[in-house]
Parts: sequence; structure tokens; C-alpha cells
Amino acid sequence: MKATLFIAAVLAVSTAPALAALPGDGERMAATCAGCHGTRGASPGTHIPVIGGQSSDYVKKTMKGYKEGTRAGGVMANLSKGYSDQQIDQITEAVASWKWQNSQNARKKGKIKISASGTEVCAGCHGAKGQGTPIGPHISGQAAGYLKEALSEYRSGRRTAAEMGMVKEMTDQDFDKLVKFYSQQK
Amino acid sequence: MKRREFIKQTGIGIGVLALWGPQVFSAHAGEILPKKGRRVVVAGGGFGGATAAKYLKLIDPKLDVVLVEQRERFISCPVSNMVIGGFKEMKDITMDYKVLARKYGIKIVNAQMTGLDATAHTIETSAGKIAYDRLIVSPGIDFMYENIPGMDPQAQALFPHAMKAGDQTVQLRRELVALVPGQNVIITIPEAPYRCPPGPYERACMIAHYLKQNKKGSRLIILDANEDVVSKGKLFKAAWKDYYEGIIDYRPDSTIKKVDVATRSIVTVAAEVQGGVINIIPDQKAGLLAFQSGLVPPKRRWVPVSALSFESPIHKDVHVIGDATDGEVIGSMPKSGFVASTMGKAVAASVVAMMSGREPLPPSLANTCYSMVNEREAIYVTGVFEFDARTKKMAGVKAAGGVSPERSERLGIQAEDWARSIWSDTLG
Ligand SMILES: Cc1cc2nc3c(=O)[nH]c(=O)nc-3n(C[C@H](O)[C@H](O)[C@H](O)COP(=O)(O)OP(=O)(O)OC[C@H]3O[C@@H](n4cnc5c(N)ncnc54)[C@H](O)[C@@H]3O)c2cc1C
Ligand code: HEC
Ligand code: HEC
Repeated sequence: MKATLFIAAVLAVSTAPALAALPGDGERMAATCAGCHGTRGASPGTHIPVIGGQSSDYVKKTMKGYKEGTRAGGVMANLSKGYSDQQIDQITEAVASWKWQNSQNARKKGKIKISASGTEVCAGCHGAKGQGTPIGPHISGQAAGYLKEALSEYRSGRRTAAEMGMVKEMTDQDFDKLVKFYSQQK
Repeated sequence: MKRREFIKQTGIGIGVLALWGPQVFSAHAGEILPKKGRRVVVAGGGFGGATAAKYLKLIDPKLDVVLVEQRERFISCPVSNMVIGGFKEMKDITMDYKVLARKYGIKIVNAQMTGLDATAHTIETSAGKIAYDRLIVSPGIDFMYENIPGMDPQAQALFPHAMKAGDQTVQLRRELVALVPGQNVIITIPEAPYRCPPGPYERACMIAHYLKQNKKGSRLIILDANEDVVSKGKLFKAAWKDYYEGIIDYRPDSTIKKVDVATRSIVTVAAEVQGGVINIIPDQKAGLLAFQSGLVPPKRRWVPVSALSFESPIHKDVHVIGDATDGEVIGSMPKSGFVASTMGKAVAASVVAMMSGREPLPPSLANTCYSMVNEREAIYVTGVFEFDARTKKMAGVKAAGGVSPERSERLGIQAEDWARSIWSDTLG
């Protein structure tokens, strides 16, 4: 698959004049997400998350969760219903193909010391720096406001995931440390 | 006012910014930027046009893209109501076009477009003629003052619309601050369709909030030509009741019959009201540029285009997007920055396709408009629009359309994020 794509690309380059590749269906639908999530999913906001380069399994699960109501969402609960399951697959493919770009909104203020202690428990699923694994989504370089909100939602039960059960016991201070650590990872 | 605006715009419009190397004039009289390769000219650098220019370059970096914009800087209508309410300043909503030039190599021409020769594939601007292979026009809106008896240039200057963020936003803010407590403010809302359906109601919240805090005894009278609040009605009315009871006096079915400068009054079928500050939002039509360019058929207000390619049925190789487009022709969608931005992306893809003999690509459009109901809380309306091959129009996907279940501070934060995001998607 990769090899044929590569050959196709070489051919395209060598036959002049090269035609610009047109954005596919998924790319064009996903371009509308940029209004809130930034160009190619690089969100400049504090609470609307970076999605470009997020793991495709996670984005797909999330979009379908919003659509079916299994993940609580505000505006995403509306927008996700605008696309068929097949369209969501196409959108997901585009979103996951973009390059992850760290949020500019890391948590900077406050006296909280940044340290990896306390994150060992997270590393197994999210990777040592939070860069994501096949189990857990990419959380490093994510918008700080969003990270805090996500953790709080797992604690309050607004969002549910068996894997995230450990946050039920955590305090806001614990969250602040984790948010500071992950939002500042490069 | 219009004349003053015109002079000011042409005044700042002479000269070309952000060009690479010395400017070369061609043999053609007054032509600037002689065309060498495949070129798309985009006229109007608002939400539609600037986004189209950027996405043309994202899709095809080798394409020569020229953006012609009469204003030196971009001033955002979204969030301008917050300036009127005193929660934001003009600098928060003013941005420049430099990044588009630097990052994507778009040639920014700071000039006013004054004419179109679709046969010769050239446009006239205050800086000279520019040749194109395809032209995208996103001219925004203008006003039908002629529909309001008494709305002469003096009245236009005294009763700002503030529906194009800029001087009039500042004027309205200044007048509010100067209002004598006890005097009333009037907003008039035209019959839909007009730019930003929830915009006037959001503005009402901002003004009422200001009056409540600062102008004891002053009320805000809303004269709405529509039979009810056009967008997010329940949510706006709930906020008015909870926060602005006794301040907002909402009067539906109130078309203006006459305005009088001397008495600062507005006459409707039902009443005559006077105001210390009067914000008249007149009926709207496509931006004057669309009329000057022959893109609007006789007796129409908006620009007909193909909903698939946004190409004009009147002028080949000319595409029109944004608020100026005719909802009756392409399918009804709100005239919002969000929709204009998604149109910009859609037209960019189709233009690149069509320039190389390929078919236009079906647009995927969307809308979300957040409105602030006070300094912290917001509400929203959303929609997803897809091309219907049977009717050849854009149609809203029913399941996705809707409004927020309630107002909240969380949505207020998201509204701020949204603004940053769409600004960076348009200009960054
Ligand atoms: C108070 C208010 C609040 C709003 N809030 C929101 C919101 O929260 N969300 C949202 O999605 N939308 C909002 N909108 C609507 C949004 O601003 C418009 O829908 C959007 O600007 C439309 O984009 P456009 O490209 O069609 O026009 P514009 O953005 O108006 O762009 C037109 C551009 O063309 C230029 N131009 C015109 N004629 C010429 C010429 N002859 N030569 C050169 N340049 C020319 C103009 O200077 C302008 O820059 C709001 C509008 C208002 C008034
Ligand atoms: C109007 C703004 C807006 C638009 C447009 C929008 N989103 Fe979102 N998105 C949000 C907000 C806000 C959240 C946070 C959760 C919530 O409140 O629903 C979010 C969350 C998400 C998440 C969850 C991210 C995570 O890390 O869990 C995904 C995935 C997502 N959006 C994908 C998309 C896609 C794909 C599109 C385009 C089809 C899109 N969004 C369009 C505002 C938007
Ligand atoms: C057993 C595996 C596992 C462990 C351990 C784990 N997570 Fe997660 N985490 C997940 C999964 C799976 C999800 C996605 C769940 C969903 O669909 O909502 C998730 C989601 C998240 C999210 C939301 C991401 C987003 O984009 O919305 C954050 C933030 C997060 N985890 C942080 C942490 C932190 C901090 C720790 C350590 C204290 C941790 N997780 C431990 C598996 C894990």
C-alpha cells in the first residue's frame, strides 16, 4: 500500500505539468473543523482541544461517541450528527493525518513544581511524555484548560472511561500538577 | 458617511503592500503585477476572501494568489459587539494581513477594486489593473438606505449601523458612554436575511448590560421588523428576562416607516419613539462591488452562483462567496463569518480543480455562532450543510442543526477560543 502510494507520487512528480493534489472528501469536511480547532487541528485556544495528529482510533471513537450520545459534548454533540458513520471515518483519517502541533496555552502561572512524579501511573497508557499509545490518546502539548476540564469530567462522571477510574480519588491540586506537566511537554 | 468612507478607503487604498521585489509595471497601461503563471485574484479580504486565498495556497502552493483588500487592516465583526459593550477594545479585534504574505506568499494589494472586465480577465483597482485566470469575490454587504424614508446622509452619519466593524463600532460605543442617564437607546433590526442573524440580539445584550451598570433609568428599545427573534429566540429571551428585565423593551413586527434627525425619532406602524443613541440596521444587499461588477441580476439583492462551484452564471471564471451570495439560489444558510470561511475553503478546492480541467468538488459547509449574553456567558447555534445533487443546492443536515441547551460560562470560554481559532484560520 505504502509502496504503491510512493510510486504514484514519483510518477506525479515526473509527469509535467504536475497537477496539485485535490483535497479528498475527508479533508474537505474536516476543513470546517478549523473554525474552532484551528487550521489542521492546531487549536490556538485554551479549552478547545488540539485534534490534528491525535490517534485515529481515539478520534473515531470520540466522534461516534458524540454522535450517539455516549460522550457528553456541547457543540460537538450537534456537529457530529451532521455526518454519516462513513463520513466520520473519512474525517477521522484526515484529522489523524495532520501533524500534531503543541498548544501555545500551556499552564505557566502558579508555583506548582513541574515533575514527572505522579505521572508513572499514566505513562503505561499515554506514554512517558503523554505522546499517546495505542491505548491512550495524545495528551502532551494539549491545551491546559481542556486537560483540566477533561480530568474533572472523568472525576465527576460526566465523561466515563474505565481506564481513567484513578482520577476519582484525585484533588484539584493533583490535576493542576498533571496539567502543568502534560501541557508543557514538547 | 458613505462618501466619507469612500474617500477614506481610496485614500488608504493607493499603493501596494507586501510585494516581493520591486514592483514591475507591464506594457499594458496601468497594469500592476503582470501575470506570469496561473493566477487567482481574490477581491475582498474578509472572512470569505482571506480564507479562500490561504486555502488556495495550502492546496496548491505554486499557484499565484493575489488578495485585493481596500482596508489596511482586518477588523473582525465577531466580538465587535463586545467592544460596543465595553468588554473588549478595538485593538482586540484588529489584525493585519502580513502573515498571509509572509507564510504563504500571497500577494496582498491594499487597494479598492473598481471594475471588472470578465472578457479580458482583468480587474480595475485604485492601484492599477490586475490580470487573472480566475477571480474570487467576497465583497460582504451594503445597505439599502433608500428603504427608510428620511435616511439621508445626515441620518446615516447620526444613526450608525455598526454592521461592518470599524469606525461605526467606535462611534456607537462612544455615544453609549456619552448617553445622558434616563435617555433611551434604540436598535432597529431589518427583515431577514441580513448579516449575522443573532448579531443584533447579542448587541442588545451587550448594550443592556452596559445600561444596567452605568445608565440608571435608560432603556433599550428593540424595533424588530421580524415577527420574532430571528435566531436563538428562546435563549435570548430567557437572558433578557433573567438579566435585563425592565431594561430591554422588545417590539416585534416593527418595520421603520420614517426617521427624523431633528427630533431623533423613529416612526413605526405602531408608535413613534425617541432615542439618545440610535443604531439603525437597514435592509441589506450584496456589497456594492458585486453590483459594480455586474454580478447581480436586475431587481435582485444578492449574487446568484452555482452552489457546487460558486461560479457566477453571468461571468465565467468569476466565483462569489460569503454574505453576498443569494440563499434562494444556493440554499438558505446564515450569513456568518463561519459559513463564509467554509465557503472560502470550498471554493479554493473547486477553483484549483477547475483550473486544471477537473470537476468542481461538492462543498462541505458548516456554521456555529456563539453569542455572548453578558460578559461571561454564551449560547450557540450550529449547522452542517451539504450539497444536494438533486436540487443542486446546499441543504442543512437536520440532525446537526440546533442551539445550545442553555447559556453557560463554559460556552463563554469556548466563544473566545472560537474567535481566536477562526482569526488564526483566516489570517494566520
Ligand atoms: C456585530 C456582528 C457580529 C458578528 N458575529 C459573528 C459571529 O460571532 N460569528 C460569525 O460566524 N459571524 C459573525 N458575524 C458575521 C460575519 O462578520 C460576516 O458574516 C462575515 O464577515 C462575512 O464574510 P464576507 O467575506 O462575506 O464579508 P466581509 O468579512 O465583510 O469581507 C468583505 C471584505 O471585502 C472588502 N471589500 C469590499 N469591497 C471592496 C472593494 N471594492 N475593493 C476591495 N475590497 C473590498 C471589505 O473591506 C471587507 O474586508 C458578525 C457580524 C456582525 C456585524
Ligand atoms: C463550534 C466549535 C467546534 C467545531 C466547529 C468543531 N469542534 Fe470539535 N470540539 C469543540 C469543543 C468545544 C470541544 C470540547 C468538548 C465539547 O465541549 O463538546 C471539542 C472536542 C472535540 C474532540 C474531542 C477531543 C479530545 O481530545 O477528546 C474531537 C475529536 C473533535 N472535537 C473533533 C472535531 C471535528 C472532527 C470537527 C469537524 C468535523 C470539529 N471537532 C468541529 C468545538 C468544535
Ligand atoms: C489504563 C490506561 C490509562 C491510564 C493508566 C491513564 N489513562 Fe488517561 N486515558 C485513557 C484512555 C483510554 C482515555 C480515553 C478515554 C475516553 O474515550 O474518554 C484517556 C483519556 C485521558 C484524557 C482525556 C484526553 C482527551 O483528549 O480528552 C486525559 C487528560 C488523561 N487521560 C489523562 C491521564 C492522566 C493524567 C493519567 C494518570 C494520572 C491517565 N490519564 C491514566 C487511558 C488511561
